[in-house]
This record gives sequence, structure tokens and C-alpha cells, in this order.
Amino acid sequence: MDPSSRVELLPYLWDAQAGYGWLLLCRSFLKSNSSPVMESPSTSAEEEEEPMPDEIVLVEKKLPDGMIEQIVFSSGGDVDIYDLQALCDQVGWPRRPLTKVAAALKNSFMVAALHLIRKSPDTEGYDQKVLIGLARATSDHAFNATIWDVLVDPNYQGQGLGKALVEQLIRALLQRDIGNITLFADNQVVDFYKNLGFEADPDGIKGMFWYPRKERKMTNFWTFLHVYR
Amino acid sequence: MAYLSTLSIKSLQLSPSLSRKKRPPLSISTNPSHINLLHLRDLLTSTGQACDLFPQFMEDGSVKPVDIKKLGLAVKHSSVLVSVFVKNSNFLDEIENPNFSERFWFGGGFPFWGWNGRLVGFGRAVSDVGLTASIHDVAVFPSLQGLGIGRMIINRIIRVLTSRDIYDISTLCSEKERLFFESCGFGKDVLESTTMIYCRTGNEEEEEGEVKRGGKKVLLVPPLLKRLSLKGSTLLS
Repeated sequence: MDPSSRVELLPYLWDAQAGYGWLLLCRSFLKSNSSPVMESPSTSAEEEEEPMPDEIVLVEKKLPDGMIEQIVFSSGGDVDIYDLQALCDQVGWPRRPLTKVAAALKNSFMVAALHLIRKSPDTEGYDQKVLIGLARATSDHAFNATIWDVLVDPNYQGQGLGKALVEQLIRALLQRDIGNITLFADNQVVDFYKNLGFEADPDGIKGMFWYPRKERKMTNFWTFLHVYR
Repeated sequence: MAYLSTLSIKSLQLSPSLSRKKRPPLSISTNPSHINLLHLRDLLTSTGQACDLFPQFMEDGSVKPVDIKKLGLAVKHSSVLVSVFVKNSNFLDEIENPNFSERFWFGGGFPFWGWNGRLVGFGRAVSDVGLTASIHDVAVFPSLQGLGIGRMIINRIIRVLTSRDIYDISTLCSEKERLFFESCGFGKDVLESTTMIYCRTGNEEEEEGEVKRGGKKVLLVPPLLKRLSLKGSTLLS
């Protein structure tokens, strides 16, 4: 199929009414000349925010000694990078530079996290909060999104928590009309994602990665998703 | 007789410049404010792209043009934007005046974009400015393909990303584009991961199950998270 044969190249003609008006509209979306070459993705108040609750209590259990344990899902992105590093250690992932991880979390479209909260009925306001699951997605807010870093504490796996994390990410992305949701899955988790509605290489679309000419330093590549069963 | 001879001389003058494809003078820019969204949409339509992995096609076979508002959003939230411009009059000048230096100096001889240049190449990258980046929507005008413009765009994107210490650069491509990306230095993942795309489709008429359109596919939206009915289970110790 060769669309170029059908689309003729015409010199661009300025239509004073439609063209200029569109240009003004389009320029209002773009930043000014003084912006640097590379900019981090911006979040502006003019975009509509979906009314998704920030925190949802998934499971609540009252212990015999009066303490209340809860597993809380949150999409607000308030994840402590040291907690995340501890969780990565538990799952068995190699360590990554903390500044990079912090920047990645800050600039992701959405960071879904699961925290285990231990509440004591006596001491008000002093809760123990432990990170037990995470999933994040990067996106251009319009067409494409990629899901990275899906991990769940090994003690809490196999209960549907990972599925909940990924499904809520997908829901949030689709609510914003972002239709191309992709991820790069390790061999042992391909079935997990197939169960969630993902297909491997549909229509021949494959992912490719860049190889620098010099010897690649292995410490720079963290693109695998592990959910050990 | 004289008319025929002048016609044949003209055709001799034309054939050398058309048989050897010369790259016209180009201007490459990473400044987002140089991008005109309408030009960009036309460029993407001319290459058969619509920013969707599974684009919708119209009755005559051409791709449905991408939505301008969404394109503006995507451009705004991309970390790296590369656009390649060619001087507007180049397309007509090339046939009338094959002498490159005359055309260049009498035509101004300074960098051009936006107002007096025409967008012929584009590429963008979406990144979390920390760990990963992915390249999307690389397009070069069909009649200027095969001249190394695409590779120039990719190299510029990679240069900007690696200057920010991001080496994990991925891209999604169909069978046709694979050779192009391989020649730019892309390959299979060293960790041998599988690329997976969300394709769970839903019926638009069905009442249960919200659906959203993603290109030509109608995708099923997972339900809102509810409290899990796992009280007293092994979930909590």
C-alpha cells in the first residue's frame, strides 16, 4: 500500500481564517522558544483529571491483638525510593542509581503502589507503612504508553495483587484515550500478561533496543519485569 | 524541427538530476516551537502513519489522519522532538535550476524552518528522564526516503538521550521498518524480553464492560478496583 501516490504534494497555502486560527491554537499547546533541547514531560492543570480515587483499601484484617492491617492501593505516586530499593532487593532485582529511579518515578505518567499499613487503635496517627507492590507507566499522554517495573513482594504474590496493579494502570491509560499500551516481559511472566489481555508481537509489531557501538555497560539496562510465582 | 531539438536538450538536462537522487539542503532542529502541527499531521498522513499501532484506514486505502489535539498533547509530552526541514521552493527549483550553489545562495543561504521551510522529516522520543526512553513516529516524506534522513533523525534523538545518560532506548516497529532500525543500531533485547501489547477487545454494543477505541481496535477497559473479598485469607499473616 503506497499512500504517497495518492496524497499529492501541494505547496502549503495559508488559509487566513482556518490556517492561522489553527496555528494560534496549536502554538498555545507548545512551550516558548527559550525551552531547552530536552524537557521532562509536563503536567498542566488544563488537562482534565479523571476522578479516580487516590487510595483504595483492598483488604482489611483485624488481628487478635487489636491491630488493624490493611493493604492499600494508591495511584498518587508517593513512593519512597528507599522503600522501593528494599522491595527490589527482596524480589532479587539488581540495584539502580537512586537519582535515576527518583527522576523516573517523578516523570512517569502514573505510579501505582500497594502499601501494607498496620494501624494501632491506641496510638492515633502512627501507622506503619510498608511498600509491597509497584507498577509504573510512562506515556506521551496521547497515544503510547509503556508499563515498567511491575513488582510484588514475594510474601504476597499469587493473590491477585499484581493483576490489580496492572489492571488499574490500563484502566487509567484507557480512560485518557491512550490506546497503545505495551510492555517488555521476561520469559517467565509472559503467561501472566497473556492472562491480563496482552498479546505477544501482534501483527508482527516487535520491540527493538538500541545497542551502542562501544561495549555496553550492563549496569545501565533495567527493563525486565519479574513476578516470581 | 527546432522545437523538437530544444525539447530533447531539455530532457537531457533533466535526466542527470533525476536519476542521481541528491539530498536537498536540510535543516534539522530539536526545538519544539519549530513544529507546526498541521504540517506534521500532513507528513504523517503522507507516510501512512497515524500514531496508532493499529491505524484506521479510509475507503480509498489511505490512513485516517491523526487527531490534531491528541497530536499536540503527544508533542507536548515528548522529551525529544526532531524535525527536518527543507526550503519550500526546493521542490520546484530542482527541476528548473539544477545548479545547487546558485539555488542555495540566491535563495537566501541561511537556516530555514517554520515560516519558509517545509517539514519533511520527524521523530520523537518519550522518556521518563531517568531510566528509559522509547522512540515513536519517525516519518520522512516519501519522495525523500532512502537518502539517510531517517538515520539522521534517529542519530540525533539518540545523541540527545545519551547526553542525558539514558541508554535504555526502545522502539516499536512493524516488519517493514525492522531493517531500517537494524541499520540504525537497534536489535533484539539482550535480556530477551517479549514485547506485549494490550489487545483485549470488547464489544461496543455490550453494556457490561466499558470499551475504548485504540486505532482500529476496540479495547476493553478493566473495571474499577474494588475491595478484594479475601477476608481471613492467607493474604495477611
